[in-house]
Amino acid sequence: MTLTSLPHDVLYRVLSFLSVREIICLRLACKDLRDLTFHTAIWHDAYTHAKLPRPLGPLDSQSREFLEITLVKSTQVGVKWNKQALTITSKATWFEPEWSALQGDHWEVVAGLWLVIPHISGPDILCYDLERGLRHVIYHAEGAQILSFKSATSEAADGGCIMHAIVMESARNSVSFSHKLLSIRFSSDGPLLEFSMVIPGDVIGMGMSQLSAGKRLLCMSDHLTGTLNLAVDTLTRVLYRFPLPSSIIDPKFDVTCAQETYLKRLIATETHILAMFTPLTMVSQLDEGGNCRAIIQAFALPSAGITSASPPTLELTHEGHCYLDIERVSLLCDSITNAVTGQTQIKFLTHCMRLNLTKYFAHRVTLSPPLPGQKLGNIYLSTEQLFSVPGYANTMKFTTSFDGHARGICVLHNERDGTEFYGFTIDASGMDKPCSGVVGPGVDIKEVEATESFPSYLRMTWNVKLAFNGYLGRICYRKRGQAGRNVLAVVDLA
Amino acid sequence: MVHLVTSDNVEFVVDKEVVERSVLIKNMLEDVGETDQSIPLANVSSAVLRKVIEYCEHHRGEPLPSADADQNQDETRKRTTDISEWDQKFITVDQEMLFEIILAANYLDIKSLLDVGCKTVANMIKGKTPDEIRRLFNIVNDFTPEEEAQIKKENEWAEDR
Repeated sequence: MTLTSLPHDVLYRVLSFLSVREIICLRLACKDLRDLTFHTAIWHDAYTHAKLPRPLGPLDSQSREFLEITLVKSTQVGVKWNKQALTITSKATWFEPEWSALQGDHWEVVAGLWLVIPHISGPDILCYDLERGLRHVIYHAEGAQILSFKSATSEAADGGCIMHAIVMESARNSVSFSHKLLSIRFSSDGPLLEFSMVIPGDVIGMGMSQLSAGKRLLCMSDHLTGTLNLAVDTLTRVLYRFPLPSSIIDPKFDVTCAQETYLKRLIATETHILAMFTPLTMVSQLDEGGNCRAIIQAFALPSAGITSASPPTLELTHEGHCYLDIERVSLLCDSITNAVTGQTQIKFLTHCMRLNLTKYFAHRVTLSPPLPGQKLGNIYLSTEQLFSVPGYANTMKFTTSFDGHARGICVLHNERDGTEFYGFTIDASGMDKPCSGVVGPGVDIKEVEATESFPSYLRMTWNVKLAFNGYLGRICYRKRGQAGRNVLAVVDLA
Repeated sequence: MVHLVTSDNVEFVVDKEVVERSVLIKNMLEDVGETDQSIPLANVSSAVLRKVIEYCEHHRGEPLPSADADQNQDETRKRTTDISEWDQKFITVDQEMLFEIILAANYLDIKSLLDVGCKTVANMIKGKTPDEIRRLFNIVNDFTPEEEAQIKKENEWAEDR
């Protein structure tokens, strides 16, 4: 009696207790076991139990190849990204005279492949194909110059990427300003301007501060006037206004909000726009995690449809308060709605720096439908600590991978004045399950930079863009080269 | 009491409650009703049946997983290869016996025992390289050198731990 003489249904049962890696190891043992691992049922079973996003269409109709490749890739990336120290597979610097006016965060790298740079004080927005070195003009402001540029990227349903940008232009021969919203789609064919629309001056303020783009909604606030001022449904391309400030929790909200006594943060998702407010004066109310009590409000597209008002107004649908460091909030997982309970869940990532340690937290925000007799629904927050890295990691970037896991890199400066990168993975795919995360060993870029012919001096890590394609993490950062020139550095990590 | 006769012609007399942990025997008894006739188990030897009965005796009275509960239990069953302490001790046998018990549990349709056996085999495989798996189960590497090189190349990532 040997292992291979057991009936197939028994061996299937054994395999159902094995991980993807172990199934592959069995495949390498002998022909009988190899043939067994080519059965669709095994991969079907493994896929069902792996926490991976469901492919389009019923699982039964998926081929063994698809299921196996997805599972294997997910496992491989998991091993690579989190168990071994990241290694630098390639690095390059790039300089173009055209970038001399580039400043601040007025640039974008889409999917790690396209560098988007506006020609500040010029008429064009340029896009460079980082792989092939091609240069495209993706937007040309006729008879005007671009003064500022704010962008946000989101994943398109077809797997491509969409970049939304708000540009402020001034006409060459007059003093008038205008704002435009651009939507640019990136696919394997390159960038394509899908639409551009003028935003009326009374809808948008001059101080463009935060642009946030979810799968469907897009929003922006104005840091000069402290108002929430613009929301766009990118599906219908309809502009919305936020309703006048009001709050059940804080009756003086409408006055205090306008007086800039609140820090504000906006996050757009597929179904809701979340606005978060933290009173500036209430530092004494910090909890042990250093978080301040925040009011969270959720806005949705008007349920009654668009009224004659132009532009129409969003509806305040939920309100709640919780302890949250709203400045460091980033969207981890776009909204998932449970059709039975009507609850919507949105997940965020934050980090806090304490005692020479940076801790990362996942927050699950649940929007519940209003109770009978109540106007607004409740907001409930639950928080899980994910992992921590030694030192003060002040920059963190992540992207959602093909397998529903968020993978990213956090950057920190250690005592030796080096810059370290850590790869992390967060599993935020479950609707009601807690999020979990792991972080791998770090890699010190400074040491690598010092030993090879790569310009050193990297302190501009605030301006880091990250992309992750399932195998490689690509970090792009802007450095000051000789004579104050802007140099783009591209580092690939695996 | 139920009379069972093994492949090597040994008769066992077992409590009905104990033996009914086997879905096969339970269905059989339901079909024929009360009977003094012995049930022949041509696929099970006395040594193996002794172990199986020991298992059933220990787990006597525990609720049997119903057929439709199987679906829900699946979720938790798949996630863990943990085995209870008693079961662990019970299943600490040589490989030959382990496979025989698994076969018997499969034939007699005792789900929980089958799982204990399969989890034990899975735990033996966990964390091992293909070479170690071959040595552990006495498997002959029947790949040609070309085949082996090819299959190794495609799957080499799985080997580094």
